[in-house]
Parts: sequence; structure tokens; C-alpha cells
Amino acid sequence: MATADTLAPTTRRPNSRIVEWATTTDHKKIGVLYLVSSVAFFFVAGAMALLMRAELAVSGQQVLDDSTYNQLFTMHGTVMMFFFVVPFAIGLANYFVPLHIGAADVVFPRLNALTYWLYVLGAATVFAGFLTSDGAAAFGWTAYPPLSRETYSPGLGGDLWIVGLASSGIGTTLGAVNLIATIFGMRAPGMTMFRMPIFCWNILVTSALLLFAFPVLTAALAALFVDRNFGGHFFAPGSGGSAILWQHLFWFLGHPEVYIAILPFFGVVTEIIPVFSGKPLFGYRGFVLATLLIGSYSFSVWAHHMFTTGAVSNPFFAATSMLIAVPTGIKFFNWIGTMWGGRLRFRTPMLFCMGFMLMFLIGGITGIFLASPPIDFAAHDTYYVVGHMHYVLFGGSVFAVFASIYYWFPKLSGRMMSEGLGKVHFWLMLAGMNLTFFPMHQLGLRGMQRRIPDYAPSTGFGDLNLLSTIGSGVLALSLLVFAANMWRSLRRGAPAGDDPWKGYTLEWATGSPPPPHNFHRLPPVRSERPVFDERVRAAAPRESSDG
Amino acid sequence: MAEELRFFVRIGLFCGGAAAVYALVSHDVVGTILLGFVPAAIALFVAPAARRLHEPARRDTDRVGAKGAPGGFLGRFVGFSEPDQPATLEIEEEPLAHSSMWPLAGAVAGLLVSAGLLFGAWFWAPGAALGAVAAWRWLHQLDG
Repeated sequence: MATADTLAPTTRRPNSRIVEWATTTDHKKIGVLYLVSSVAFFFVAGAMALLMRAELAVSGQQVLDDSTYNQLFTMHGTVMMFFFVVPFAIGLANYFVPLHIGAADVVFPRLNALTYWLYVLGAATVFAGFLTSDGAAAFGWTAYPPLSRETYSPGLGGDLWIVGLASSGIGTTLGAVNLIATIFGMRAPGMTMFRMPIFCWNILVTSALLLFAFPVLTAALAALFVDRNFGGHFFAPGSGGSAILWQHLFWFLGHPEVYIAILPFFGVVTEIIPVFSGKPLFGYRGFVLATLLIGSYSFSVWAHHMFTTGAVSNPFFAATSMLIAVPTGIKFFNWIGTMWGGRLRFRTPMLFCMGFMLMFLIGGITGIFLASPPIDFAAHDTYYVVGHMHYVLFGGSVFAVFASIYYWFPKLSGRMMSEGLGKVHFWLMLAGMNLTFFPMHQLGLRGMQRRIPDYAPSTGFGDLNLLSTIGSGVLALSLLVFAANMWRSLRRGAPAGDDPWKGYTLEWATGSPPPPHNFHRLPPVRSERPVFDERVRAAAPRESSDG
Repeated sequence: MAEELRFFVRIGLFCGGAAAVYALVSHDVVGTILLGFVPAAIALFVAPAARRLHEPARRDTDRVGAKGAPGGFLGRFVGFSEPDQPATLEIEEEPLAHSSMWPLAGAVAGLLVSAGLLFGAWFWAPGAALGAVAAWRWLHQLDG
């Protein structure tokens, strides 16, 4: 297996750049492919959101017809959840887990390449629905039957959605196996489990969630495909099937999916905050325990999406959904404890981490409200849920995505990004995000349902919708600033050096970008911050001689 | 028990306990089965993994661990750091994997086969053929 997979000689034929990237098995290049692809999908899904916000800015239908609107919100949710947030985290894991644990590559390099291609071709298959006569899938990213059955959603778009998602899901599951095996099998001497960077722990738990949750969705997708194309009745209540069964199977992935989408970014933030606080992480073991608890709890909360069905035990799932706030609170406590009394440097990555903490906190608190069945009955399927979800996934994951880009861009490219443009990007995004998503809570409480392309003027939804649309424009502007920063930095960014931030973990002990084998030498690993330890050790004799 | 196994055992015990409580309070078959799936899957993982962890490579790493702290069980590095010796670990560069077109070919084959379920033999037949070639060549590369 692993050893045979990696022991071939390194000699590479001079290929063209495209062929070189298409055939690469280098974890760093595959990581970059994941990162670039997922950010590209983010921009596409963001453009879809802008179209929807333009439609909702004022009452009446001006921009989109009903069918196109349905396709856009379906594809927006699908792309953001399955083709942006999670693959971006996998891209980071691909690039940085081997570096963090002091390894030269992942255990299965070719399998790693296969997972990327399954992901990107799966996404292309889902997008291909737009080319069919009936358009892309239009039944929402949750694909509830009977709406997603052939009776109400005929046409190829839905089938391509199923096939593409299953393909991508299989790739993701294989990728999880690879990451778990890499973390367990390829840690450098001295790198015990409890000396691993927190990012690796979070990737490990995320991979376990992927490993156990995605196959359930893949099976459900196969059943839905059979229902649609081969006369199956898995989800047809009239023929002995159950539409509720789909909800069970979907949310058994769908809720861990939220933690799959956030846990890696907890890891990112936990790597960045200590570095910019000038202190070690406060409560390393508590942090690991909290991550394990969140991972475990995430399997026992899925049915809070099904409170209104009456088919599940509401008290049980309300209790587990509220309890999951406890380990999340531990993490907040640790982040604050890390910053407390530290020498804080408010560089762009740190700003995005602070934004992450504030926005995710709001998303988390509104989530606690929704975990209460009486409140959920009132807010279910309203814009309140949309606002909550975007505070968690945009305010949480996306802010951390940008924190990771600003933090690790120097390692990937050898160049620094502009601090000035980075700060403009941050403040515009913070303002745009709150303008866009905060009014949604109020709209939901006033009764505006989600997934509607229009509303009557008499509802009084107009002002808040207009405000939300203006906010989405500010968000789009912030992303243009980011794109300009990226473009400028790749061409003219200042040289970064090996360790521009005075980092703690092993990726800062090698070149920027790292050599093919990642390391020429490794510092001794005696804690979760070996580079910090080495720096302290190097400074100690000088200080003593000064004294 | 190795920390690698404890990691999964903890998750399995938690979900197993949650399944038992849920079964008692709800009598909901589907939810109980889903909750029970996680510990069952973990049990299926842990048993072979436990055997793997006791193979010779792991025992060698443990022996290293008697002097320093053990790393991963594949033991991919030469040399190790002693806790009381500040020397850095010199890496003997390992050969990396070849670049390979077969993962891409395999993914294209998978796409064609699955599209064949919608569009017929014009897709799945070439997809299956390409998949077979990709699998064969991939295995051949592992030998090389």
C-alpha cells in the first residue's frame, strides 16, 4: 500500500505545465488544486447569490423567473456546502497536514489525486444540469422527496445532481481515509498524538465525520436515483416507502456536514490566534477534548432539522443540540484565554479570526434558539434559519477561509499579501456580511419564508430586503478587493522568507514554498509548537550571555 | 491501547450510549439504527486497525519510543530525536511517488460509467473499458 505507492524514483519527465498539474501526485500541488477550484466555485455560487438578492431587492419579479430562481438557490446551497467549504478545508489539509506532522507526503499520493478529480468532475456533472433543456436541479440542496422525485422534478438536471454529488462524495470519503491514515501513520518521530497541531486534530475529527457520514448520503442518493429512474419506491409513501426516511438519511450527513464545514476552520483559527497573541495556546488538551465532543455530538443532533415532522423524539434532539454548545464554548474560552495578556498583533489573518469569533458567536446563539422545538416550530423554513446558517457558515467558515489564505499565502507562494488591501477587504466583508444577513433574522421573525422569488408589497418585507441586497453588493465589493490583492501579491508581493509571522508549527521550519520533500531537516518535536521551542532555545544562550 | 484507537473508541462509545438512550426514550427505529451505525462502523474499523498496530513496523516504532517519543506507525523516517539531545533530525530524502495520469483517467471512467446510467451504453461501455485500463496501469505503476 503506502510504501509501494511512494517508493518509485522521483525522476519526472519534462511535461507541459497542464500535464504536470493534471498528473501530479504531490500533496502540495493537489492541495493548491483543491484550494483554487473551491475558491472558483465560491465566486460562482456568490454570483448566484447576487442574482437572487437582486431579485429580492424589491417586490415584483424583475430579474429571474420562478424556475431559474429555484435552480439558483438549489445550486448555490449545493456548491457552497459540497464544492466550496469542505473541499477548501480538504485542500488546506492536503497541503498542511503532512507539513504539520513532519511528513514528506500523504500515505496514498495517487489516491489523493483520484479524490481531487472525482470532486472536480462531480462538480462539473452537477453544473452540467444548466446545459439540459429543463435546467439544473431545482429542488433545494436538501432534495426532499416527493419534490425531488421524478413526478415533481422531471428532467436530467436532478439526475446529474445526484450522480455528481455521489461521485464527489465518494472522492471525499476516500480523501478522509487518506488523511486519517496519514495522521496515524506518518507523524515524524517525537510527534505524538498530543503534540500534533490543533489543526491536525480538527482535520482528524473532520475526516472521521466524513468517513461515517458521507457513505450514508451516498446510499441515500443511490436510492433516490433508483426511485427516479428505475421505478423504485424508497421514498414514495403511497407504495410503502417513506419520504421521512430521506430526511433521516440526508440530515445524518447534513448536520455533521455543518461541523465538517466548521471544525477545520476552528483548527485554522486555533493555529493563528496563538501566533498573533505571542503566547502558546491556552488549554491544548481541553481543546482536543472539545473537538472530540463536538465530533461525537454531531452524530446525535441531526433530527433537530426534523422537529416539525413529528417523527422524532424532540426532547432528545433538543437536549443534544443544546449540549453541543458546551464544547464550542470551551473553544471560545480557550481562544480568549490565549489572547488574554498576550502581545496582540492585529495583522490581517488575526482580524479575520476576530471577525470569525464574533460572527460565529452570533450564529451559535441563534442556533441555540432554534434547538428549542417551540421556537423552531415558529421559525422553521423562514429567513431566520437562513440568517442563522449564514452567520455560522459565512461568518464562521468563510471568515476563517480568508484568515487561512492571508496566513498561509506566504508559505504557498513565497510572497506576502498586501496588509492595506487585506484590511480594506476585512472591514468591507464584516460590514457587508452583517448588512446582508442580520436583516434576515428580522425578516424570518416577521414570517418571510425562504426559497421564494417574490413577496407582496403589503408584507412590509421590502425595506429589510433592500438593505440585505445592498449588503450583498458590499460583500461583492470586498471580494473584488481580495481578488485584486491576490493578483497584485502573486506578481509583486514582497518576499516572505521562511517564517514571516514567527509561527509555531513545522511548516514554518521549511522553505516558502516548501521543497518537494517538504523538509531538509526537522527540529526536535517536544511540544505542539516545535518551531517556537527552537526559537526560544536559540535565543536562550544569547540572552544569558547578554545578561 | 494506542491513542489512535482510543480516538475512535471514544466516539463509538459516545454514539453507542446515545443510541441506547434514544432507543429507550423514542422507540424510533430509523434514528436508533442511524445512531447505532457509527459504533458498528467503528467496531469494524478498530478490529483490523488494532491488528495493524501490532505488526512489526509498529513494534519497531514503539522501541524507538522507549528512548524518544513515538511518531506514526509506518516509521518513515531514519533517525529520531532524543528528548535530552537538542540535535535536529536530518532527513534522508525519500523517493516520492511518480506523477501519474491514471487517477485522472480513473475519475473520468467513473464519471462515464455513472453518466451511462442516464445515457446508456455509449457512455458506460467506454467508461468501463477506460476504468479497467486505468486500474491495471495504476497497479502496474505500484509495482514499478
